[in-house]
Amino acid sequence: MLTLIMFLPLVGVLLCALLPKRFEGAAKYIALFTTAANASLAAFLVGGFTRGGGMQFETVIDWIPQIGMQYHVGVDGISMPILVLSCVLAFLAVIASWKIDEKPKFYFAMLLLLATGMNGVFTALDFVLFYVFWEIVLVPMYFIINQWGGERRQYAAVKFFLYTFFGSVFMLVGIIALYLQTGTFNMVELANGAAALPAFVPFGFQWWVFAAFLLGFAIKVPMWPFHTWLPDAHVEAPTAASVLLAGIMLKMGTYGLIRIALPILPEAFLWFQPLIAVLAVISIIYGAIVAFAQTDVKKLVAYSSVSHMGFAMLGIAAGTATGINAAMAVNISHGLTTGMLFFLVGMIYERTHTRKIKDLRGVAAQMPIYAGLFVFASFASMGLPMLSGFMGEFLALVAAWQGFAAINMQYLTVFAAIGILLGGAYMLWLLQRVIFGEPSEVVEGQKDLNFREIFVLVPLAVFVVAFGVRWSLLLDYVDPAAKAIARAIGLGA
Amino acid sequence: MSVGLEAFMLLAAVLFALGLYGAISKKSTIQMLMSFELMAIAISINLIAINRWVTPREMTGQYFALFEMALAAAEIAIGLTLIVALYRRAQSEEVDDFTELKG
Amino acid sequence: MSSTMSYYLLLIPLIPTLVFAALLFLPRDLRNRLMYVSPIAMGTSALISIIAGLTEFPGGPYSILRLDYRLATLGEMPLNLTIDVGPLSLIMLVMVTVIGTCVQVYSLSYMKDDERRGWYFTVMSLFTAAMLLLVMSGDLLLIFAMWEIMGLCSYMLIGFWYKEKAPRRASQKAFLVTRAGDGGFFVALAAIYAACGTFNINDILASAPGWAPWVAAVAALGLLWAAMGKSAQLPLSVWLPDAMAGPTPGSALIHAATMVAAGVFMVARMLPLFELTPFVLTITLWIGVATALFGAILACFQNDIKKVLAYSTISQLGVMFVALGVGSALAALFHLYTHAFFKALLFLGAGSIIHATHTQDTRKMGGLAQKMPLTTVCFTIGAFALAGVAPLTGFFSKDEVFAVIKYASNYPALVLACAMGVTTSLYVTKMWLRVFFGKAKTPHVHEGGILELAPLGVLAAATLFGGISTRAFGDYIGDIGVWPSWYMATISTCVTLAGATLGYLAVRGKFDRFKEPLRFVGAIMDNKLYLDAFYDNVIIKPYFIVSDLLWKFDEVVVDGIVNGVVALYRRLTRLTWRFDEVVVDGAVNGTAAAYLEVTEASRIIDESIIDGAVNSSATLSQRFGTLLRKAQTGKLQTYQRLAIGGLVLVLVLVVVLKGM
Repeated sequence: MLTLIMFLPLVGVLLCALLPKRFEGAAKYIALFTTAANASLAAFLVGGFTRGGGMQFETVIDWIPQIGMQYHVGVDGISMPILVLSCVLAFLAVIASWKIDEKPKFYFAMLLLLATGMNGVFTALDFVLFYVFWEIVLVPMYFIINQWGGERRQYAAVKFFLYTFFGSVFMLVGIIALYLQTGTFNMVELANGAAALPAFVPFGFQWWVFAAFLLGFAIKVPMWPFHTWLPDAHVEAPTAASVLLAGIMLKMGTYGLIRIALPILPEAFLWFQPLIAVLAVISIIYGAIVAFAQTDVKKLVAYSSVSHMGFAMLGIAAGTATGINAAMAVNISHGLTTGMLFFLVGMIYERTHTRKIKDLRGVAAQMPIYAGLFVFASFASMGLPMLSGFMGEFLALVAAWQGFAAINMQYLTVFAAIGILLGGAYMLWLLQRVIFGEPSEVVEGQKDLNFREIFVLVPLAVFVVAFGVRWSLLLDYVDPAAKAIARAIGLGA
Repeated sequence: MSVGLEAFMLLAAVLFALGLYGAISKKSTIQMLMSFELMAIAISINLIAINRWVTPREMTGQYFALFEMALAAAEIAIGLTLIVALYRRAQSEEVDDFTELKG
Repeated sequence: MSSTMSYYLLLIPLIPTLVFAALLFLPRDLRNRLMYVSPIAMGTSALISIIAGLTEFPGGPYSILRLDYRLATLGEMPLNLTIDVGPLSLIMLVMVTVIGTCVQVYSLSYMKDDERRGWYFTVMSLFTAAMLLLVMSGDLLLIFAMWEIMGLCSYMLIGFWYKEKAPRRASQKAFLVTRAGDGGFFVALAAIYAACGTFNINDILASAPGWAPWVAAVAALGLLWAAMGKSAQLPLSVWLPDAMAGPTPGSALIHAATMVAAGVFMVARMLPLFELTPFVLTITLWIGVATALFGAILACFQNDIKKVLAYSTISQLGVMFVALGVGSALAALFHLYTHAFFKALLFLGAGSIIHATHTQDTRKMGGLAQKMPLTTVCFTIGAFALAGVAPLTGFFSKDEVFAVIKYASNYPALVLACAMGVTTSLYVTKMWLRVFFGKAKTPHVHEGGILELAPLGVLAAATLFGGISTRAFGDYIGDIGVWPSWYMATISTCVTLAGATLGYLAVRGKFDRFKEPLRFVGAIMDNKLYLDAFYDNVIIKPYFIVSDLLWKFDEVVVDGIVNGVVALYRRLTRLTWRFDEVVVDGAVNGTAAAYLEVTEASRIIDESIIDGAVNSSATLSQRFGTLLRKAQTGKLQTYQRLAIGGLVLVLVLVVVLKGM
């Protein structure tokens, strides 16, 4: 099942590659059908998933038995929601890319390869496999930014690639170090081993390995001050890539911390806890303030991602079950709302060919449906209760207050709450300038969203509302797994 | 009088000499090719004749002669092809026009 | 006491919610045509509320509806949204639905020419539904959720005419300022959850005495800060006057029944938590006093009729905070209740007046008493209630507040409250005289239609007769009220009369001669005590600068470091390259050069001796080659001849050699 989800897009890649040049246009249909199949498989996955059942849908095949490498995949409550989100977003990204007519074969092949990589990261339970997928993701993203990006795409693509690659090299060092110490690449065994026997790796060693992992993951999240690749990559990337970048790839960082760094190296985590907490709060506030100053809508959303992911890191820093729930809630809802926002920005860009805030004005009068969805997404991203954004940010604050009591840093919660206010500030300021007012020159005469575009946005909106009014739709899956990890850290609920 | 081996060999020698002369002196590549054929036929006559008088119970010579005929046919085919190709290139069939091997 | 749960009460918020959901997805034309659904639905809700309110009487503290909705399970604890309807909620339900109905019916006439009227009613429905759910809520999380949704609705409503600049700015300001308050709510919720693991109000209040004092203080302060934002207390009051940019009936709803009431209501529900930390109560009290005075004084200096009402709202909310500050939820809630009716009345009346005169400036109005008698009567009732004239509701509720202040023996506060009363009476009188008497300055003034007058009538009736219910109100919600004494009533009436006299004199121009020497006071007042300027210059402008600077910092420093590292690396590679070229390659080259030197030395030996031999043999072979080359004519037949010649030569040799 998982294998199918992972490799179905790869089949699509092959089909795209084999496509003769004359039928290049058919690539998008291949992509559409593969991702649609994937999304429906994901639905079955949710249906067959037992809440609180630990690792499920596991497949273990020896790969290189001499060094204990296995093809080992499986999902639990942490990875399943992101995997599903990844499948859904990939599907919607394909629909949103329908108008791509420059080298469509290559484009859709890369998009599908990206899907394989992302799905692989969230299902792999063997370190080597994990690392392989982690790196696979970089390649198609590099090409997509480089080929279909904006003006400074070369710079952005290279920066994106090198920066994240730099991080993952450290991760690789960590993986190898762990292997040399313990003799296994099995992530589940490592996590369990740590839970049963906290002292099975000496502290000094833990410290170094954790530092390596933290660097690798913090760049991916991205956490201040490792965030500068993000605005460049986002601004230059085409819409679908931005959506997947923000919606899924950033989650790889937090996912990695939750899945690997925390349960395997709990003692080192406790040492790093204050550092992560402070950096998380800095990310929240810093991202929000810098977002406020932006003149480009897309860049604003990119910086808002820094701020939002700060909340996920805040939850992780708390280290409690609530905190991990919060981090996952932020992950999912940020994927939904920021996905929506990037789609929306892309749609207005397709019409007006500008993303400059000062050029866009009065969209509401000209395109009411667009404006309605934009306002909806903005308020969801601001954390309005009854929409999904609130769940994560609120839980992160609660968890921070609880979790930081032990390290006497509860005051950080107050700063994070200020971050929520600042989050409202840049979003409203954006709305006021772009959505409201009299239509500007470029906005005048533009058509409202067509059916295809609405179809891209509505599923996300439905999820946003559903998670907002019923948190258990998400948290009932996450919570048991979160508790298991929190137990491994030893901080309890 | 009976015709002896010597007569056949003499005939063959004459034919061969004619062929050799033609091969050396003729300027036309086609004629050269025909001269080669003469030499080949001389050899065939020799083979059959020697077979008849030296080892009459076995057919080795005849086999070789047949084999040689097939070979000659192939040689002609290839040779003609080459000549046509050469002609196309140089618009000439005079062997003296082809001096690319000159040192 | 009813033993069964009254589930039908759920219909009250559900009906407007459904109207909202239904209207939301309709295209604009259809929405406009269906706008009548909204007031009808609200009326139905009001009817249900009133019936419920009457059948559940007489009251006391108990729940007639308790419902848990599991939002999620965190750890072992379910995280619930709880609906818990007691008598207090019932009263609030009646108030909100009745005022909501009046406002919506009124809006049918007021908004009938707006092209987006359907959307207006959509937002109104959600707004009211949120407030209804808020007063029915039994836990802080649900209160907070509804609180925020009201924030969103007020944003939509204030910025309803989004094409103009002022409403856009005002809506953003309203949302952000109240959001600033919500930061406190967030912190309070986090602290409360950490302390007792639940958001249920009853459970919180039960466990609060066992908390660490500082936790209780943080929670109380956070909630207070949030309430100050929502209920427009100093220093977060700045959004309310600007919020007038929205449609007037919308302002009526915001000022009377929904938005601003939420803050007072929430603090009243959580008052036992505040009482655990007396200094928070004291803060509440003095913020209330300051706001009450501030609002009243500023109201005196306003000429815009809606601005006068806005500042009076701030002032009256301050009065409620004073009541809360001395620990009387009853007085605060009763004043909230009466204020809601007469303030809605005043706003709707003001709306009619603005519609009729096409101006909001009281100086340009006058003589309306003859042109619009019915509106005048209704508005007068509201105005007198605001000023505290017996026996209107405002008189009773204000006296109740005065009484509880006196009961708490807080005489400084009482004196200031009296000053506030004088000022209130002053600006009410001033406004009233200006608008309704004197010369008519605007032509073609006429009454509004029945859709405008009927709601005014209902609200006026409620204001006229609601006052006698003070004690009943207390009994109903199970709190013991302090019945105002004759002594208090006398003081209060004197206060009102004093204010009215001053107001009369002011309109007559008796104070005009103070205008010149006191001009600086006027300037201060015109600038709203410089509060807006303060925010502009101390928070907003610096924030713009800081955010710009931080962006530059991000691009130059943070990103600069990254790029710098890369540049450094490139420098390093170049350096390595140079090293490679100069040193490593140099060593190789050096070796090679040295080797060359050696060879050079030996070359000389070589050339003369060894080369001599070699060269001569080379020359020889070259000659020979030239000779042989001649044989290579390239002609096929030459080669053939040579071959045959060679063969003949060999044969001759063989024969000759055999012969020897």
